[in-house]
Amino acid sequence: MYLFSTGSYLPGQPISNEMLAEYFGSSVHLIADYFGVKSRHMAVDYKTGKDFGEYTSDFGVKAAMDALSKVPQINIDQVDLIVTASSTPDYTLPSLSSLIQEKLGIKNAIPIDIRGGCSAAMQALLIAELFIKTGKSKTALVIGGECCSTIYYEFLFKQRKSYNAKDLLNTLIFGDGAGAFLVGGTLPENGGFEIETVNLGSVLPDQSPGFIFSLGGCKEKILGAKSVHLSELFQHLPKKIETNLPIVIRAMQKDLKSRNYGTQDFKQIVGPQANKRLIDDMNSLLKEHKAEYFYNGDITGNIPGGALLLAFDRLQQISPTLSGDKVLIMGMESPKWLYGYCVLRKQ
Amino acid sequence: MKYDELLNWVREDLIFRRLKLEDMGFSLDEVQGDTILFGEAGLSLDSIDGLEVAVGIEQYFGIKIGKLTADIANEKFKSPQTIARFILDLQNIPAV
Repeated sequence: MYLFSTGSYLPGQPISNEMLAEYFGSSVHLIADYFGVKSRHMAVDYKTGKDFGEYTSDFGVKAAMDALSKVPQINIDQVDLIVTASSTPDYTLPSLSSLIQEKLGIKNAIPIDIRGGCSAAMQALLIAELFIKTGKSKTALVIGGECCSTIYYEFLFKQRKSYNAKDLLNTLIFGDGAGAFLVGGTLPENGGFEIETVNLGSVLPDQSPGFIFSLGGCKEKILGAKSVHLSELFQHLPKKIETNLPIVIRAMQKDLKSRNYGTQDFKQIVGPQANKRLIDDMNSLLKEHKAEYFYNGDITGNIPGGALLLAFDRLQQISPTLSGDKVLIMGMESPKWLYGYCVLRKQ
Repeated sequence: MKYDELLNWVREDLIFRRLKLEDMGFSLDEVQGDTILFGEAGLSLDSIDGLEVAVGIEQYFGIKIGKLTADIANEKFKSPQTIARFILDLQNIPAV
């Protein structure tokens, strides 16, 4: 499978910690500094909490159009598969991929949704690879995106005098935006990348979650609930993360090794974009690599489903991969203990 | 606020109520002045609870802690007593 082009989209201007501190006080700096996040993009006006009328599907469309614009020889109607990765789709139904298909005006494509977090984009890429390898698809869009701020920011803004840290930290560490990969089965004229491998792993399946994000389901019902507090929508369990994530990272390293990849093989690594604390922990485990490690979660916040695709797109803008060099893109997630990665080689 | 009054506020409001320890199965009696808050030896609170404590202090007293350093997390937030002394230090009030 080949990567023809990439695209990304971030809504509005970056919202800095200083801007939010005007409304939420000095605790913004205390929490944001702890996680190493300086700014994020939000689909709401941070001064009022009102949304701009633009959601995950719109971000995905803009990221996809960005990717398509870089390969003029590919017509949008050639896209026959759309796989999306998100934990914050516009609706439960219709599916995010179907909405993006409609908004892009693509008539004959198969839309598939992946619901997941920081490794979901790799799950979506693996689905695309299977379709392309079996000949069921020739040209596919893999799109990851999130719109977190419209879910809770207006509520948080209204109660800004009495928030607690658990409420505020989600505004500070998560961001909105999307990334897109345009992939296909034949070598593109513009060079692009060969995607050598895409793999996933589910480690510690018997372990309870390290993070729960509940917008409502058949168990955690929102409609009819007596009261919903923001900290019930996002439940962070840091001790679980501190214990289990190193095990997930080691499992992924073992997986890479079993496929004859060593971290020294990569000139660039796009790693998890969750927060600086996690990156520092992970770097200590991957210390033998000499690659350029790309992280932009400090200026975008964590955009779980879109982060890896978006970060790779930004890496290509800032420090394009040289011909023949390999890049490792890897994601891990704590809602359950998963990893996903792909290895790309610049043509 | 005097030290004893402050210590009670730390125990009852900042730790027990703000961190919703009742939901975690603790009673107020289990939060004494010298109770170890973080780590396996005590209540086993986590890093997010540490942030919650810091934000609670900033909000209630209108004072700025700045960065939640390892020293603050490990030493100043060790027990309700150390937190109370830390608040007094931030306000430049001797613990008498």
